[in-house]
Amino acid sequence: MAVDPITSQVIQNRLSGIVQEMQNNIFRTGYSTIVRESQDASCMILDSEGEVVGEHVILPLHIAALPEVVKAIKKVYSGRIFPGDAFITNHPYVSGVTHSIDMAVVIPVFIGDALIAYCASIAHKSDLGGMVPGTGSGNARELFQEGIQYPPVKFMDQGKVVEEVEAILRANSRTPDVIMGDIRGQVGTGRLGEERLKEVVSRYGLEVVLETFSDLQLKVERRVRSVIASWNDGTFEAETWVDNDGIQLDVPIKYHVRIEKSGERILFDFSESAPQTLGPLNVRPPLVRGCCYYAMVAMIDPELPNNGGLARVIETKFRHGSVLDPIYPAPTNTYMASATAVTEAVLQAMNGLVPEKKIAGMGGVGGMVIGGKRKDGSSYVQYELIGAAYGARNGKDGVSGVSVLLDNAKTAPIEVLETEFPVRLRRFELITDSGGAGQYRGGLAVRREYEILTSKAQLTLRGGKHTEPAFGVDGGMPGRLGACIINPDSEGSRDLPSRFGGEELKEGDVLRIEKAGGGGLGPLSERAWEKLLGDVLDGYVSFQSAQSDYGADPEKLKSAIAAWNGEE
Amino acid sequence: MSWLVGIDTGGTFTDLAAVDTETGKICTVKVPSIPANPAQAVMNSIEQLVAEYPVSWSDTDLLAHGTTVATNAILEGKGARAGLFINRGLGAIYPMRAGMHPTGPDLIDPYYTKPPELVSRALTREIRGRIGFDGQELEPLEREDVVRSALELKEQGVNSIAVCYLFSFVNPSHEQATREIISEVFPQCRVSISSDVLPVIREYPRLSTTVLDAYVGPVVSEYLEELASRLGNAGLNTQRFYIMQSSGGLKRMSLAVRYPNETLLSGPAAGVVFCQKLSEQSGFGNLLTFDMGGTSADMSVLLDGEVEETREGSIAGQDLGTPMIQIRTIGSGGGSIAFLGKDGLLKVGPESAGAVPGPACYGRGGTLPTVTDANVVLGYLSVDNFLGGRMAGNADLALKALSGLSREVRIDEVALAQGILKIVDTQMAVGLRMALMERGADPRDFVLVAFGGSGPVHAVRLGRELGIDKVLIPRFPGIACSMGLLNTVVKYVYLQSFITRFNSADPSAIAEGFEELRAKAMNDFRVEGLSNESSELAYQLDVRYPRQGYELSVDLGSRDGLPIIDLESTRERFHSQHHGYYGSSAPDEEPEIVNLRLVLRGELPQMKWSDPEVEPGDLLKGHRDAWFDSAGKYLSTPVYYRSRLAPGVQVDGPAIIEQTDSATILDPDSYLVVDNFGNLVIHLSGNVKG
Repeated sequence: MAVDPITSQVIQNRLSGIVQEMQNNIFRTGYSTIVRESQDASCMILDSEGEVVGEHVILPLHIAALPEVVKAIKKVYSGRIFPGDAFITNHPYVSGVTHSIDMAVVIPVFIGDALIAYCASIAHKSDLGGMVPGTGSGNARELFQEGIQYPPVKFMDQGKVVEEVEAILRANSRTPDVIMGDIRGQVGTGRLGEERLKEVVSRYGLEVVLETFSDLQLKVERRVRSVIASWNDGTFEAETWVDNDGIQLDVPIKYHVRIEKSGERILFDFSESAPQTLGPLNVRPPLVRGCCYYAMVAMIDPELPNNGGLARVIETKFRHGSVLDPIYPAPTNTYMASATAVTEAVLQAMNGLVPEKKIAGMGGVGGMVIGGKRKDGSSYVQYELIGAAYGARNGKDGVSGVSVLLDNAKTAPIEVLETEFPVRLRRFELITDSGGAGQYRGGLAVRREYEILTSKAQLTLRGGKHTEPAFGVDGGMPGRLGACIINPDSEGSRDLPSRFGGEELKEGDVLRIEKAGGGGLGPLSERAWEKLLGDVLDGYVSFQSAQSDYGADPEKLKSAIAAWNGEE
Repeated sequence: MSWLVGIDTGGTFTDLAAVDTETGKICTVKVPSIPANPAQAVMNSIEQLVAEYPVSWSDTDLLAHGTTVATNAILEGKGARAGLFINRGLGAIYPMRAGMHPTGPDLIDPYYTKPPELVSRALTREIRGRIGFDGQELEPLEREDVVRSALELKEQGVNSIAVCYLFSFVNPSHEQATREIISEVFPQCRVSISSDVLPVIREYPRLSTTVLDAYVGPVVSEYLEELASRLGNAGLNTQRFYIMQSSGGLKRMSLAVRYPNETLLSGPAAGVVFCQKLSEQSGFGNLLTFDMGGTSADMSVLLDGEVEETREGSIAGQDLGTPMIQIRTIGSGGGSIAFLGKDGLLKVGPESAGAVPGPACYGRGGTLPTVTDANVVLGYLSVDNFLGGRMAGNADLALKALSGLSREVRIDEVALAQGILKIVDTQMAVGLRMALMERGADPRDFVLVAFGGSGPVHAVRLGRELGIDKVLIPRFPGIACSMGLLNTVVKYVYLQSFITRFNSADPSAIAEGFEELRAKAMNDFRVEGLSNESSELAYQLDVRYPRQGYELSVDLGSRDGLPIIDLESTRERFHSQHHGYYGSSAPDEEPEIVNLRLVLRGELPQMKWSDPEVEPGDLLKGHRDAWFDSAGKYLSTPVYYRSRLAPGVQVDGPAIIEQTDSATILDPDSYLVVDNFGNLVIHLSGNVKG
């Protein structure tokens, strides 16, 4: 039986609507700043095989993780999944979870005795144990240092909370109330999805809904294949670099892709990437595939549903023991830097297929955690994700101060941070000249400066681009490097690398984080005068740089600035 | 004789409703909007009113107005040259815009660009001085910085300045001092301070809202002052000249100019307020409101007759934290264009044929198939009845527009027309369902109110899609917004940050905080000329669980105009309210108070609802063929005159009820009864015919 295109569209809209409802619910009820302020959480509906059928993307990488999670649950619990169950897991190897500080919560959906779908969510947690507050240490050398690992287990068994599991969760977190509040919210969110999906089934009939599940994937698969077929055949390569793995600070890590495109097939071969790292830069293949999905959607049509159909088209090849296919139990907690670097390599290589879309390097990603005790003795974990900058795109400057590519975290409000944590923000500003110069300028990065207001705290950074800048394209310049400095402009000033864990901070210390700027695109001499002048007026480009990098005539610039300021 | 007059400026038309305060007689006028000169369209509507009806303009007792001037200034980038003062070192707050992409395709698109900043960096100044989270001054305000910056911006032609410092919602003294200093050195400049505009935590939305206020302020005051003077010249005597706010309340014109950002949803809010009146009349407490025009559909939820408020809106990507009626707008309207998507699926909208060229059947040069064309092909709309027959349409053009696409999709035009409607209905149903979800509400407990030109056409089908039993079509669906302007109250909201756990809250400190808010409210109360009998103060606490980031407002109740501070029972109400909204609560946790909130409402002369006028004559206008899914074919369907249906009359489906600005479609399984106010109450099930 074929479902007509109209019913199919109707059900697709409904599924996406349900996921939006779930998403709203998770943020509104969230307890941790990472969920409610940074919105590091995604929801999804998957079919009984674990393929995505309903999505409303918040964080693109989560899309790749949840199918693996569901498949792991099916494997472990085959024949023992019942209505009212709720599964949790955070295991990067067993369940394909992004990193072990993300917790997936999965609710099976039954119609009668038939398990027809899963409503799932994945959300960052404030702390699940491990070496440092916030769990993920940039110095971790194996998975076991990255918090407690939960393979798929039942958090709820046929409607009842499994008290032993809750007790273990609570006993292994520095912030038990916060993580339980968030997990409760995730379970409630899954139940909401379950209820809504059942309404859809009772409205349209089970057969039609199931048929639509496979139909939606088939449509995407066909469309993607036909777009691929329209591209020229060939082999395209690109590579990108990340500073270091947090352990061997002088060894940059290489990410390499070779795309082989032939007819309607496309293969992404990553086998020439660096060996797996001692430190936590490793990222597992399902997530690298997620990077490929993202790049394909971005290049083909940002409105393309990112469902199981896309997964069927993408072929990938990895070398076991490489940074992109690490051997258990290699650490993975700063995987996001790798995922971003891989995506940039893929986008660059795809430029051979889609020559009209060019993008310079991004200012990178990364989280920062300060944790310790407040003066009243209570523990806290201040978890922040701070956006960096986009590289320039052909025809457009890069975006300043924004999460890039697969990352989409919101920057936490200063007023929330200062109210909840012993910290004061001294600076939060765009960094002049941080965007790579070019005909199209890279986006500007931000600088954040914190004063520590408690006697003892630990700092963990999962940053990047302290030594490998965002690359420029077609004559554009690289972006400015990032930095992490304790007590800058003072005698005891110390520079820290882009990833580490557990650096001790004391009261009165000043922590300066500088994100990296985006790369520029096109020759500097082609920069439009009005844009250059605007940048100088706005303080995005210094007078100095306009003169020495862009070659602007200083007298002309001076008189234009004076004219704008209303001076004669 | 005296009249209450409501005038609503919409995207396509400016609507006017005038109601005789004695008899309740209603006069309606619709004239084309003039985006370049909206005041002119308002004057035109008045001229037409005076010309067509025995109304003397000088007899106007109250004039309420919904305006799109502020919204258009943002959409078209035509606001003031504004400046911004912020704390030293914190220049990234505005350009960062919280650092997140919006959801949807923009999230994935590597070519994404942020919405433009309404104040450039070059017109932003950093000022020394800092307040801590507890309201303590950490660094004094540097007067010199303010003076120099104000004078610099003056040189640069700025005429409006936004001021937003950290923690001004706890301690506004630095912002207030800054305003004083600016007014000393640059008195011509308009100043918006964030502690006045939106005194709540989270610096970015507060800053963005304050910037919006500064950006639209001069435009809005210029418009309102011009309009007031033209109305005065035309003979308007009343001091009761009100402007609709996004929150659904009115503010006196002279006060409205002080808070221009609050007029951003002026028009749509009036439609929802009108539904609140309908709720009162009809006795249906739970309403789902649905206002479908040419380019978009606005949706909102009334629970027990109360509107829902949001503090996280946005206009054209510009974030806005001012309390406003929660209105969900989606790009589906009568003019939405159907096309075959790249994925091979049929799509409808958000591209719209708009007013020009309009749907193909308008015969004004449109060739692309729209929702209205599909409605014509299926017999729901008659081309002879556009604007009550004042506009000539052409059904062949509708068919022709559909036939091109039908070849692409490989189905015939009739099937295509059905498909277009199904898809647009689904999109709207998803929006309506989302609106309900946020209230944790079940559609089966709701009555759908459909208005706007296209709303009544889709109402019954949408009702079925949502599982709703009853649909309400107001007497004049095309001018619901101007009617709403005459059915609301004066409304002011006052906020004060007050962060503390319930178990450590000091009732007397709460009482003191409310006393301060009450003093502010009483001041506005006097300016408005309200009386004790006609006004009310509502005291609320904004409450959340300690780790949460978002609050619910819980009513305290009042006695003799003062709040009843019973923390025990307020805490219990919070737990149950949270459960109602989100399906969960944590009764073991001690909730946290975040804000004190005081709402001042003042009654205005209300329009009198008289028995609806019923035109004499045969109810039946004729028959035409209309498609019904349940029959699987075209049925010869009776067409009735809406204006001749008296209260109590019952009409069984299938039927079409035509009036000048809309048509209501009843499928074969539904019937309607006209209520005492002339509204159509449509029953979708339990068809007890005869």
